[in-house]
Amino acid sequence: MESSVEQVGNVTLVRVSGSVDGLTADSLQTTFREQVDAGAVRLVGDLGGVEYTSSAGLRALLATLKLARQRGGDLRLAAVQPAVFRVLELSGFTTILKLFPDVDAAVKSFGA
Amino acid sequence: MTPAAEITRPARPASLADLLGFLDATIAGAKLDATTAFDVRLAAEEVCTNVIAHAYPAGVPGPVTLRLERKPDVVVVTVEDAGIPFDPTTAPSPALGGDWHERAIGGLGWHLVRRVVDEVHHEPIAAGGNRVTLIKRLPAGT
Repeated sequence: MESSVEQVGNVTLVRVSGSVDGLTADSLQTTFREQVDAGAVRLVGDLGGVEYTSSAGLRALLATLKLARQRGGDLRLAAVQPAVFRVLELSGFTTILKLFPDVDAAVKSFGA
Repeated sequence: MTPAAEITRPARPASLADLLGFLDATIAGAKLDATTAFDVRLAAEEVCTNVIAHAYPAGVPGPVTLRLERKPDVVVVTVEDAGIPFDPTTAPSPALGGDWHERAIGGLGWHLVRRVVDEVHHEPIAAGGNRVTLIKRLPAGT
């Protein structure tokens, strides 16, 4: 898994690629938490390059979502691929996370 | 994956890289369709991480054995430990309907396993420990 962070207006975009599993999910959660700790609570996760997630990845996303919302922000996801979408759906995450077809739509949803 | 591939490691977080690497290599060699490969990978990872996290008392790890076998119409995943008796088929399902602040962080592993494979079996091992067997049916014509 690889991730990179960039600012798009007042939104922090975290681009993720590869497998989010028991080996890599902690590092993704740390990346997100560092942003929230720095005050960046409007987060977009670009999952366009993520082909796999296990429950470890779901934990990282839910922990980030809670942290961001508790501080008045949100974590929104963009470009979720079908196999990963299915895991989100099986876990009931599609009803609590806001999903967008692409990064542009996710960023704009914050009013950026 | 012919006839069966197997790996045994200490049930510690540091072993996860070996276990997942074995999974990826074995699945890649089994010529599975993408969905079956994804589901077998997911279910096997969840069972292995559960053994690493919960099968043994803190500070006293024992082995975890992961075995994959491709049969004509199914993939069989077997995970064995020598640890605390635990029957995952009785694990409670997580509450999936609540609002975001009510969701528990964790507890989704066994739920996903049950959803992505066709059968989950558990049997205690006579010498102590657990054997979990997962059956994933292959799509017709593969």
